[in-house]
Amino acid sequence: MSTRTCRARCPAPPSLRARLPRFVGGRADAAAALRRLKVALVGAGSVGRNIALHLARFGGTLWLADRGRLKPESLLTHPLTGPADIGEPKASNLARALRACGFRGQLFVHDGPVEDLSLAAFADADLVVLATDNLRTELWVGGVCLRLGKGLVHASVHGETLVSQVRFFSGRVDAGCPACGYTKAEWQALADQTTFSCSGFAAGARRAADAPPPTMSTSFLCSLAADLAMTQILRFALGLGAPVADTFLEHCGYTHRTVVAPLARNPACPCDHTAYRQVRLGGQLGALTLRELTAAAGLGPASGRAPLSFTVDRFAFAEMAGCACSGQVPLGKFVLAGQAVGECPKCQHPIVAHPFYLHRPVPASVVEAVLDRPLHALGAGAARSVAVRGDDRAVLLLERRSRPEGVTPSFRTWPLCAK
Amino acid sequence: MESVTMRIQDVVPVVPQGGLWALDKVALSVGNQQLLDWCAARCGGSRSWRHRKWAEARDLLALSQIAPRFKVREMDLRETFRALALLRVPVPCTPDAHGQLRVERLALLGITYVEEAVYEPQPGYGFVTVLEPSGVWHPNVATHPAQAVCLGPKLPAGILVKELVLSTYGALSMQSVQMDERAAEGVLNAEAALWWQQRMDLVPLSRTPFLSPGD
Repeated sequence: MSTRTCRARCPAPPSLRARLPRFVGGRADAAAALRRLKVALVGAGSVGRNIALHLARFGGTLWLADRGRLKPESLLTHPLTGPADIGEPKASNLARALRACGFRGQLFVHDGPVEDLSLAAFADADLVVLATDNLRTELWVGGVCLRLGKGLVHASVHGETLVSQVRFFSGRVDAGCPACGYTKAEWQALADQTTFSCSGFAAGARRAADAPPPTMSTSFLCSLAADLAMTQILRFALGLGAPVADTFLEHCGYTHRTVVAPLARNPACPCDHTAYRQVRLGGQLGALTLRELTAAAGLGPASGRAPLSFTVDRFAFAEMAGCACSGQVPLGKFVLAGQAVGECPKCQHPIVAHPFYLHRPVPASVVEAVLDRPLHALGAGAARSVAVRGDDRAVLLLERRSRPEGVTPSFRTWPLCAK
Repeated sequence: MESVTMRIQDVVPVVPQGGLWALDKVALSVGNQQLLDWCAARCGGSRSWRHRKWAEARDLLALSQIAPRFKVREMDLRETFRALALLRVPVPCTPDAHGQLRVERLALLGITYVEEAVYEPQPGYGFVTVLEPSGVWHPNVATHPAQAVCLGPKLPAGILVKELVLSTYGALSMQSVQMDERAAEGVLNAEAALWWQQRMDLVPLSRTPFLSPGD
């Protein structure tokens, strides 16, 4: 069904102005500003789903990411779910529900671990909202927002104490990240949640089978956390009241006290707080060489104390590959985790990149011989982003126009009319 | 007798007081210091990550000075921490045509330490690969060409590189081995695991402690 036909059949939602108040100290074009908001939501569970429903009423653009599927217990806390939804991927199910509620903005969905996505997937968002209990995901999303300089809103609950919390990180280079506030308990919980199996080795990736505990909370506590997060997002988008960036907001249902405190960077935080300057290039990155990309980044050739390095989307540079019969053979191309890189000339079995000779990021000196070959000739034609790093500066090169889904995991477009 | 005594004294390592946790007290040789300085000049990443890599590199070089069976050949601190090292350790290799186990005496190890390992647990197979010899026949070592060594189902965040070296020695000499092929963790070569289950009398290949000069 064409978009035009779909729009003709699906009634347009009412204008936000019909119910949006004139906020004290607010701007006259508040409705338009909210409609322009682009938000990436990580976690489509009990808290995230509520946030998404609120955001959808603004209009705007939404990206939804969640690795999980709806379980029978999800019906206890997830709004707009029923028995027929059990087993469905959470992000897709939420997308369908948003369309059924009349959301007609741009909608993108990723049913899988958010860690599979590249930086480019979040480059167009104004804000990232995190609504998950998974600590690894928190670290990863926090790192993405630091690199991209994106604001991060983290909503969470502690069911036993009826506490709702919202952390708003500005994404500035001197600001904190979720890990800055981690105590020993959180680091231990991260260790406890993370498990690996040797099937991850076979897949060619350090894939963790995270096992965070389910959110033990009431549905209304989850919606309270979502509502508080939305209030912070509204104030941020419209500049209402005191700045909410780099603040921690907590409400306790036992005492009905609300506390607001500043969030500061922890100098001992082990996470990388380097911000990446973003540069948008016309055409496809795959057609460019690493030398051209370095020039576009405005970083000189490798000199001084720290050499240059490249991170090409989700690709790793494989110096060597091998087969049981032919030993190690030079390869010199970019590969994805678990990707077969060719056939052994002797036995015709697939050869694999040697893990010791896989580089991500790859130092410029390792790829010196191929600096002048376009990325597509090096196996990375599908790359949507390239990060170039030198000294304490880092630049993220992106394509000016985002391309349809390719070989690397990415958000997929959710059409206006979809079943 | 006197000459034998002198020979043993030649190879007895001078372990600092505090043992392997006091490697920072070991004064690096001129060659090792030069190697460390050369690598540090090319060290990339954030400040905290650069400091960590430098500290790990120094510890590894100090370890090589006090452990006769361990030598660092190359190090790379540009991005991911990488080192090539020789380890004198019995390495079980594919049995010959008569079913007799081959045991090599020297392993060339590839050690990799990613930045995330500082604050996140990592899979046990993510750190060490046996580059030589080929054909390692061990339940916890993947088959050629990767030959990754599994040092446990999950290694804690911030594990030290010297701990990886010690664990690798224990694994290859089979002083510490997991060979239940039904277990999801640790067994990277199920065929070897089944073979070794029938030959437990050969395990371990060595009882010699890491710092001892013997085999």
